Amino acid sequence: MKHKIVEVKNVVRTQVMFENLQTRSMITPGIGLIHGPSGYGKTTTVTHMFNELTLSGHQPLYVRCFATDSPSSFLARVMSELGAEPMFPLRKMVDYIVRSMNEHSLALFVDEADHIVSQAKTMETIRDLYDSTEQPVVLIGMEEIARRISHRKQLFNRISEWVEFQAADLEDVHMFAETLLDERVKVGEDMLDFIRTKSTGEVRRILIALEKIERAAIASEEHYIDLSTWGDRQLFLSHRR
Amino acid sequence: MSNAQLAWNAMKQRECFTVTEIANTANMDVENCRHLVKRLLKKGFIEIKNGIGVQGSPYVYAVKASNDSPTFGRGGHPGREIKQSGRTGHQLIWNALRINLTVTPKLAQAVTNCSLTSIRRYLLALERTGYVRCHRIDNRQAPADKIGQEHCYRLIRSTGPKAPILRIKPAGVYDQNNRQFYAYSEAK
Repeated sequence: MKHKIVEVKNVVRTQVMFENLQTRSMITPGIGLIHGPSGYGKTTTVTHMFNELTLSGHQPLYVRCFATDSPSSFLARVMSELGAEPMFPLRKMVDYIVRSMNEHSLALFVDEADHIVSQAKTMETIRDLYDSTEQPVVLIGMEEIARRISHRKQLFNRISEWVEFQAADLEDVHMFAETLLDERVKVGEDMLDFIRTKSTGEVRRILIALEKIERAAIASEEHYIDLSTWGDRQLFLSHRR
Repeated sequence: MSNAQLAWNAMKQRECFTVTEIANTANMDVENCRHLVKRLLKKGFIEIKNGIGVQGSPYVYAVKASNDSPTFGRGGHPGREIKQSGRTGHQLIWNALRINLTVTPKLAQAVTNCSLTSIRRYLLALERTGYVRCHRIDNRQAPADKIGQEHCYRLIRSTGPKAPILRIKPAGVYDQNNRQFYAYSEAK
């Protein structure tokens, strides 16, 4: 099994979102939103994009929010990303962050943004950072974040790009099999559809199933696996119960 | 701590200040304090907020909102505190650890395009210096049962955005974020 990023629909949408944020015109706001249920490859895709930006020489700021965060602790986390100690009063931290983001053209990634979306002051602080720097800000959260953020009109209006991570479809599963499996192993269409249905489109479970098929196929020197050749062998953990 | 450092600390604690106030606080000669303030002003650590610099209306200064600090006394040489640029494979692995919190070597390979050998070597070094904790899979399992299972590395000490650098002599890891060296033998 090869280990690389497969450009399925969710990944392509995220890449397009980043490109659009970086090349947007002056009048287009630059806040992006990535959301979706867990298990759909959100974090892996974000890591991939983060590393792409790092390789291009612009390592973004990455802040993970906690349920107990306040504007002060949020700013302190951003300061720590910049290698600086917290400063008080808070406006000094905001000034420092704005200056650093402007000087080094730093984008800001806010992960687990669900935790702070209900805190007006923290969200307004993020909006302030964006308004003062116009550098891309990417909010990442679970599926409910889009609905909750829509109540904050000021921030919601500035979101120009968004990606909702969705369950993998048959085309995606096909692409996973095509790209990641050993050249000696081919998987039938009915088998891929079975994997997609049983995994409910969760990327992690799809990959485990494909790896199982690949190992079994190589061990038994089979080059083509479909539902009939697979038979009643176990494919998903839940089937063992 | 030198008088200059005391004076700098006093400046940082105030919203704004005059030379005389700082000289009194740091118990410093006024003229020496004035030289220090001029030097800091020239280097951009402080700025003039008010006043015209004559008796009765002295300059009022304020420390600029910045985290940079002036160096006092003889300048230290960087020695082993040499930093790396961000575009290294180790930086990408470190990024993956910080974002995912738990990574497997194969996941790290997918998001970094580094070789598995290099990833395993770096993760092992981080484990030996207490940055990550490894959950190893049971090797006694049958190969078929191990599918999808891998050694997992959990980040337990996140010190900042810059990746720790491997050092050969003395053997260990140098952390660019807190400027500390962690030797392998010190790992708990």
